[in-house]
Amino acid sequence: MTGLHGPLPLARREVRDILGDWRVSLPMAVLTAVFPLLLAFAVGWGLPLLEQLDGGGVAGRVIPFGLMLAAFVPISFSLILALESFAGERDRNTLEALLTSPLTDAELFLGKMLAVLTPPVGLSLAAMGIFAAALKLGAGRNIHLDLLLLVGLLSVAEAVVMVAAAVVVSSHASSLRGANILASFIILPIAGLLQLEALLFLVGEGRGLWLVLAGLGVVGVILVRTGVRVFNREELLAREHQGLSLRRVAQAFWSYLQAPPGGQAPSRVGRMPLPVRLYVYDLPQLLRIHRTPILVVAGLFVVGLALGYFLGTQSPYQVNWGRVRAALGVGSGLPEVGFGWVLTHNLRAMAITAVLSVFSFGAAALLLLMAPFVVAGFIAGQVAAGGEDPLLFLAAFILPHGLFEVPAAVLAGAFCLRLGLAIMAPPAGQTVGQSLLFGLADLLKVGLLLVPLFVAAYVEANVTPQVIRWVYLGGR
Amino acid sequence: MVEAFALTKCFINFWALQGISLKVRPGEVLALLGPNGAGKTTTIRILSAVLKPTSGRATVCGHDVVADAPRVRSVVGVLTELPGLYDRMSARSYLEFFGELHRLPRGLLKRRVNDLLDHFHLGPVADRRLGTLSKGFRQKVALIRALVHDPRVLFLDEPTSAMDPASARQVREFIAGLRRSDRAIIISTHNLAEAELLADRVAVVARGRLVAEGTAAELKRLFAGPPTFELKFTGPAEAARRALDGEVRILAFGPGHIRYQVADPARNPGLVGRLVGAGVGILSLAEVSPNLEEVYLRILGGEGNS
Repeated sequence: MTGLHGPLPLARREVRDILGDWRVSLPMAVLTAVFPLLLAFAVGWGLPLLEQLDGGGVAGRVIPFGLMLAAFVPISFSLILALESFAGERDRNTLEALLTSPLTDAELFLGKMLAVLTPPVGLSLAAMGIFAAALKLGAGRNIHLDLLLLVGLLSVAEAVVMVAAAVVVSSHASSLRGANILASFIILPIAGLLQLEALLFLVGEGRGLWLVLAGLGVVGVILVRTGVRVFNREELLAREHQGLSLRRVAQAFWSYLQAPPGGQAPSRVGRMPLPVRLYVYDLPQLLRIHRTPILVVAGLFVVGLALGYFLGTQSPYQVNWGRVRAALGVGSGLPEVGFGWVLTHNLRAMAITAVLSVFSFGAAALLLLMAPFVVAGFIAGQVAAGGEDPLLFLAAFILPHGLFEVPAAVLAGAFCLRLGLAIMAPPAGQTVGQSLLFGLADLLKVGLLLVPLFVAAYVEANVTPQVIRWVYLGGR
Repeated sequence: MVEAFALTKCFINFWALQGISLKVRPGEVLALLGPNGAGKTTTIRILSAVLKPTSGRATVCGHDVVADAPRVRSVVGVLTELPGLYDRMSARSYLEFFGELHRLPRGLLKRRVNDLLDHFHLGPVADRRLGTLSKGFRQKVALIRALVHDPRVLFLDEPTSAMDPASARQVREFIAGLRRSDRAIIISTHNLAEAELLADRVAVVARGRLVAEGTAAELKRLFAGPPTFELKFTGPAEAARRALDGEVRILAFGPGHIRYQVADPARNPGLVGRLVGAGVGILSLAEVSPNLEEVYLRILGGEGNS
C-alpha cells in the first residue's frame, strides 16, 4: 500500500528545487500572469466588434477559447519539468541515491508525479483566475462556473497525460537530450488535441469537450499505469548495461524467435526442424495462448460492422441502387484492381498498423483494422435502406475474399495489439525492450499464417468481381 | 547479518553475476575487490535490495532482499560509487531530506545530522550549497547520507575516493569505529592498501564470480607462493647470483641485493653459508611479506589464464 509519508518529502524537495531557482520560477510566473492579462484584454477589446458582426454567436465562444489558452500555457511547463525530473535526475547521477531509500518504486513515481504536476496545475488555476478576473474587471464579462470546471479538468488531464507520457519517453531514452527529442511524440499529439479543443470551443460544441476529457482520462490512466510499470529500479539501472548493440538486439530477437511459445516444450518438439515446428507446434500454441485478444479483436470487428450498418441505415445520404446496377452492367461500377495492388495494399495496411500499434499502445491495431468493417457495414446499411438485401450484398462483395482476409486481419489485429501492449504491460520478469522483441517475434511467427492474404488478394482481384456480376446481373 | 547464496544477475544477454555466495557477520568488514565490470557494484545493489537477483537468494538482517526489499533498504546504508548530490541544496537540508525518506522523527533527525556533520568537520560548510563544495567534502556528505538513519549494515563503494589523506584517515577510523559497534560493512574498493587495513576478510570478484575469499593473510598464504627473502650484500651481487642460481627461484636482483623464493625456509642457513664460503659479504637477510596488491594481481592473473 502506497501512503503519502514517503512520496511527500520527495515531492516537497522537488517543488522547492523548481520554485527556488529564479531562472525557472520567474519566467513561469511572468507567463502565468502576463499571458492571461493580454488574452483577457484582447478578448475584451474584440468582443463588442464580434457581437456587432454576428450578433453574439461567435463572440460567446471566444471567451472559452481564451480561457483554454490561458490555462494551457502553465500546463505546458509540466512536460519540461517531468523530463527534467525523470530523465534529468538519471543524467545528473542523483537517482541512484534515491533508489537506495526505503521508498517503493510506486512511492518514488508518485512523489515525482506530484512534484512535477503541482506547480503547473497550480499556475494553470491561477492563470484561469487572472483571466476571469481581468475579463470581469476590464470588460464586465462573467465566466460560468461549469466552464471553469471543464477547462480546469481538461488542464489537469492534459498535465497528467503529458507527465505520464514523459515518464514513458524518459524510460526509453538514455539521456535527457534523447528524452527531449523523443518528447516530440508527446508534443505533436498534444498540439493536435489543442486544435481539436479550440475547434470544439469555436464551433460551440462544448459537449464534445466532455468527451475529450473522458478520452484524456482513459489515456491518462493507461499512461500512468505504463509509467508505474517502466519506472522501477530494475528498468532504470538495467539501462546502464543497455548500450544499443544491434548485434545483441538481433541475438535476443533470434533467441525469442527460436524459443517455443509458452516456455518448456515437449522433447519431441525440440527435435523438429524449425520451419516444421513453427507450423506444427508454435502457431497452434500462440493461438491458444493469445485466444483472448483474438476473440476481443474478432468481437470488435463484428461491433464495427454493426456500428457501420447502423450508421448506414441512419445516414441521410442514400445510394441509388439502380444506378449501381447500371454501372455494373456497363463494367464501370467496379474498380479495376489486380492481385498485386490488393496484396500490396493489405500488407501495407498491416505493416502500418503494426508500427502505429507500438506508439498507440495497441489502439491503432483495433481502430485501423476495424475501419474497413465499419465501412462495409455502412454500405450494407445503405443497401438495406435502399430496399435491397444487405446479406446478399455482403455475400457478393465481401464473403469470397473475406473468407481468407478476415481471419488474417483478426490475427494481425490481435498480435499488433499484443505488440502495442508490450510497452504498457510487459510480462513479469521482462523489460519493455524484451517484451517488445518477444511481441515482434510472435508477430513474425503469426505472419506465417498470413499466407491466406495471398489467396484473398487473388480472390478479390479475380473471383469477387465475377461473383458480384453473377449475383447482381445474373451472370452477364 | 548479510548472507548471499548463489546470486546471479543477467541484464538482457549480459551476465553480471554468475553465482556469488558470501557471508558477513556483525562487526565484520568485508572488502570486495575486483577489476572494473567484475560485478562488485551489482553485488552491492542486490544486497541493498536495489536490484533483484536473476536467481539465488540473499538476506540482510534476516530480511529477504526480494520479498522484503523496502525493509532491507531501511536497515542498510549505501554509499554509491558517485556521490550524486543535489547541487542546489545545502548539506544540512540534503541530509535531512534523506532522513525524512527514512522516516526519522524530526528531533532525532536534526540531532543526528548535526552530530555527523560535526564528526566529519563539516559544520562550517553545512549550510553552503553542495555544488560549491570540494570533491572531498561532497564525498563526506554522501557518506553521511549513508549513515544518517544509523543502519545496521553498510555498503561503501570507494569510501575514501577523492579525499585528502587526512580526511581519508578520518573516514577509515570512523569505519573501524563502526565495526566495533557490531555493524556489518562491505567495502568495494580499488585501494588495496585500504582494504588490507580495514577489512577482516577480502573477496575477489572477477567476471561475475567469486574467485578468492579469506583473510588477507590466508590469501597471501594461498596465492603468494613460497616465502620471499631478500639478501643484501656489502659488494656487487653478481657472485651471489651465480652461487644461488638453480638453488632458489630468483625474483629480482640489483647491484647490492637479491630477492628470491625458497619453498623451505630452513634451507636459508645453508645458502648463507655457501655464499660466505664463496667470499660474498652479507649485510642482511630478511623475509619480504607480499602485499595484497601482489596477491590480488596474482589471483586475477590466474583467473585470466584460466
